[in-house]
This record gives sequence, structure tokens and C-alpha cells, in this order.
Amino acid sequence: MGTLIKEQRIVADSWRLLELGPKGELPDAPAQGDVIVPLALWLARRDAFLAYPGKLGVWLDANEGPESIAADLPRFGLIAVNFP
Amino acid sequence: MYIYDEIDQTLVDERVAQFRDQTRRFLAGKLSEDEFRALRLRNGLYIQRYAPMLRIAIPYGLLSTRQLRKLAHIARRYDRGYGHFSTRQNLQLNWPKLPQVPDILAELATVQMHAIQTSGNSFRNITADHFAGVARDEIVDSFVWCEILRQWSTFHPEFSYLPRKFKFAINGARSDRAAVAVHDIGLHAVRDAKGEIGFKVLVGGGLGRTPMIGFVIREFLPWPHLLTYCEAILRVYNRYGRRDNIHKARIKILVKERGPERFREEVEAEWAHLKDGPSTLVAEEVARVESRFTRPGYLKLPATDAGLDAALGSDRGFANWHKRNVHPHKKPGYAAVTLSLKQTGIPPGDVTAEQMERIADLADRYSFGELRVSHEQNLILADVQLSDLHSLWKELRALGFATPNIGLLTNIISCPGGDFCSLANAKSIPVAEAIQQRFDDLDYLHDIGEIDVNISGCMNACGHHHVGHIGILGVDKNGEEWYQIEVGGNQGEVRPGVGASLGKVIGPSFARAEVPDVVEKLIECYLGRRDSDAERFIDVVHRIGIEPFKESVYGNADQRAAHRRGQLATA
Repeated sequence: MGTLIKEQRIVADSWRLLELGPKGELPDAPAQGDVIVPLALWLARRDAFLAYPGKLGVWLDANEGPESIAADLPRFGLIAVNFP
Repeated sequence: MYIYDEIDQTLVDERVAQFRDQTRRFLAGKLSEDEFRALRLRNGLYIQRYAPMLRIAIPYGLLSTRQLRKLAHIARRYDRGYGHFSTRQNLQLNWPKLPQVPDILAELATVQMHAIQTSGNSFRNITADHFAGVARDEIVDSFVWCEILRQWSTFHPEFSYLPRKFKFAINGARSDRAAVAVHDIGLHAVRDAKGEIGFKVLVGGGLGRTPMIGFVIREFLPWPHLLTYCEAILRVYNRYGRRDNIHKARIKILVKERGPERFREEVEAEWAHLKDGPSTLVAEEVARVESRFTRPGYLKLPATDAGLDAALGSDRGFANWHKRNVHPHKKPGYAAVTLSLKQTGIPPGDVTAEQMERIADLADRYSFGELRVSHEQNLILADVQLSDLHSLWKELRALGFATPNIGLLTNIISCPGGDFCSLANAKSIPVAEAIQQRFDDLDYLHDIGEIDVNISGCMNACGHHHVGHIGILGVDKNGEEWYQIEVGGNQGEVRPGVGASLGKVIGPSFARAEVPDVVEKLIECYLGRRDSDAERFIDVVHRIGIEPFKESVYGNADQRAAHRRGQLATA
């Protein structure tokens, strides 16, 4: 597990990032743990994620806007924005 | 003068400590060039042709004499004894030593100064009209609004990684003395029909290699919405501005590519989320910022001064200077005075440490211990009693700052150019000097009247050549320095009538030695065609177009064609 600076302290980074496959294949979601999922995965499996036991984050790639998740914002622990 | 509160001071002190540690780690080999580059740029430190260059922020160009003395001390102790006032109203040191930069920043912090956000892809120093607070045509004191924007824009978390640098200008008076149309966002204070204060908002202006005049995205933005509306603009830019190509990354390119109407719609849609939100300004917040400004203790004085009138009648040199360098003041019995940093032979904007100290003494004695830097690279004593003008002039003359050329041809804006800057294609300071030497006859200069001559050493346009009435651009042709001439640019509606415009190139470029001749021909063309003394160079260009000016330099179309045939024949 990595570490990060949060509120001026070094803390464990509990987040795990799921990435799309090289051809855009959707990865499988883990059974538990804090996870950041690509927007496409969230949109495809939204209903299943609603019962997810860990914290959820969503990953917006540079060409993806936030409109499609606007109504779900309270469900996310973080929003990741990719600056390539 | 704005006085820091605890938060301001803490931010600056913490930044000094942080940068000291970053510099230590870099010098110890623990940070790579690339890693350190991003960190030093956040603190105004560039690596230039011969040495690092440190750009010190002077928010909206306002300085106390305590600060100016500190700058003099820093220039003497850590640099080569002088500094360069830039067109963003900042001060640049051209020869600092990297290991000493943290010490310089620590010294600056003791007088409420810093170099934060003077480089990198962030909000840069917010510039203002240099007669803020004293102008007779004032609508608001732009310094207060600049300070509100400064606090909002310093370390703003959402906008600390913009596609590119971002420059605001605020003009608080009727005349535009802040060049608002050539900024990423330009704000021009206005009153609506009911007398309420707001801002005309221009967006997408800029100079550089793709010069553009900003478009008016809103004719009247009521002041409480200033920050939320700017946030909406920045959100659209932050989201859609290009990060893949540095030359297409400024907001002006985004505005151009989308078109002003679509851009406006996107800003309005974004604003719908932000309007009336937590960033909405309230009167108490404006009053809080305003209350941290010290104000001059003006005396109650008559509007005229017999001693001044007598001196103007008897001393022609003084009268010439008074005509050009003294400006009306909203308080009776006071005037604002411009100290010309454009003495022939001195690089425009350059001041030695000793001169800084002398100027600080004058500001203490004559102008409540404050001064301003103008974007035209001069200094202003904003609050001088009329009865003191004659003695002030004598002292300025002894120091070399009384050149009576404000608004005239020799008041040249110039970048540091190839003498100092690694980006430059050509030198600019010797060109400025050659023109100043050619036009050294003061009577002739006054006869020519108001004209802006601006020089940039490369297309990055730090010398604002696109908005010079005559603009000069250094270009590289096969490793040699050449100069392209533009005519008809204008920084803004300084006087009613002619708004901001970009100059047009008149033709093939010239060798450095030819530039004064070309300027002279353009001036002769103007003098031969003006209706009266009141019609300025720029007015004539806008009335008759650039063709007559072109002809005066290159001959008419037939002559130009014959010349080209001749060149081809010899080739």
C-alpha cells in the first residue's frame, strides 16, 4: 500500500485504482476495499456498485466530462481527474 | 498600501521555508532538474541566458518606500546592483545566484513581498491602472478589487494547474490605462443606469505569438458576482483549454476555436452552478479588504498654487515636464507625477539600487511614502502637493528621472531582449536607444505629440509591440537580427475614440541600423497628414489606413514592384 500526504500528515493510501484494458475492456471489480473505477465501468455496472461494501471513487479520463455522474456525486469518496 | 494580515504573512513565510528546503535538496542532488523546475517556477525563478532570473511580485504595481529600500538592498547584496521594472509591474533581478534565492525570498517576506505565482501556469500578478485611487475619472479604486482577486487567486486549489499562465487586469477609471483588452480577463469598472457599480468583462485577449483583442463577454457584471463569474470562465478554460500544445494553451485560443458565442454559453451554463454561491462578494468582505489599505492623510488645500503658476511661467524646462509628466488628481491641491525610466541610453525599466533609495527618499518626502509601477515601466508618485512640484522636478532632474516624455515617442516600452533573455531573437534595448537618440530634440518630440512605440525582441511580445502605435519586433533571419515594423496597434481607449487594436505589419523587415530611419519616415508621413496637433498618430492611422505609411517607407506599389524585379534580376 502506498502513502500520501493528507492534511499535512503522511497516511496510508487505501485506494486501489482499476484501469481499463488496452482495448478498453472493463476490469472486474474486487469484492471489497476502497477502489477507484473508470467511468465506463461505473456506468456499466452502476446498480451492482450501489451495494459495494468499500468506498468508491470514479476516474475521469481527460476526454470525459462529469455530467453523467452529477446525480451520483454523494456516492463517491473521491473523483480522480486524469491530466495526461 | 495594503497591509498583510496574519494569513497573508503566514502563507509567505511558509513558502520561504518550503522553497529553502526544496533548493537545498536540489543542490544536494536529491531533486532532479525536472522536479526542481516545477518548484522554482512556482517561485518566480527562471533559468535565463546567463544566470537565473527572479521575478518579484509587486501586486498591482503598488510599493511602499520600505519595500523599495528592501529591493535596493537585495539588488545590491544579491545581484549586480540594479533591477528591471517589467510591463507586468513586477521587478526582475537578472543575476541572482540560485543558492541565495531562498535568502532573497526571506528578505522579501520581511516587507510583505514574495515571488509567488510570478511564473508557471498560474494566475500572474494582477495589473491595474496606475492612477488608481487618485484619478479624476475614477469609478472605483481598482487596487481594492485587485487585492480581492489576489486573495482569491493566490494558491487557488482548483486553478493551480491551469493549461497556461493567466493574466488579469483591472481598470477602475473611465480611461483605460490598464490595457484590459489584451489580457486573459480584463475588467473595466462601469456604472449602470442606476449608478450601481459593476464590471465590463473582456475575455480572450492577449499578445504573444497569437495576438488577440479580448471580446466583451458581459457588458455589466454587478460587483457581487465578480468572483463567481471569473470562476465560471476559469472552469470552462480549465476543462477545455489545451494542455498538449504550449502555443495553443492560452484562453484566447480556446475562445477563438469555440467562437465567442459558444464560449459565452458555456460560461453561463457553468455560472448557473456558481452564481450566488459561497464566493459571492458581500459589502462586508469588500470593506474588510478596503480597511487594510492605508490612506494618505491629505491636507485641505486650494485647487491652485500661485508659486506653481509662477514657476510654469518662468521655467520652460519645468513647464515641458509639467505638461507631460504631471497628471490631474481628484484631491484639490495635489497631482500625480510620473518618473520617467526612459532616459536615453538606459535600458527601459532599469533602476539601480542607489536610484531606488533616492526615489524612496523622494516618495517619503513628497508622496506619503508610496509609489506605483506602471505597465509602461515608469514609476508614479501619486500624491504630490502642487506647491512641491517645482522642487520635486529639480530633484528628479538631478537623478535623471525628469525626462519630459510621458506619452511621447521616446517613452518606449521594451522587453529586456537578446541582451538578457534566452528566448529573444534579437536585441531590443539598443534599438530603443537608437530611436531615443534620433528623436532627441524635445521641441520636435512635443510637436509629434502622443505616440506609443513598443519593442519586443521575439514573438512572445513582452514589449507589447502589437499594441504600439508603432510596434517593432525582433526576428531571426538565418541567424541574423532583423526587425519587423507594425503600425496601428493601440493598447486601449486611453482617450475616447480609438479602442484597442492590433498593429499590422507594413512589409519586409529591416536591419537594426535602419530602424530609426523607418520610424522617422513614419513620423514624417503622420505629420504631413494630420488635421491638427490634436490628431494623434494613432488617430491618423485609423482614419487613413496603413497604406500611406507603407508607401512612406517602401515607396508606392509600382516602386515596390520595380524594386522586387530589380532584386530578382540581381539574384
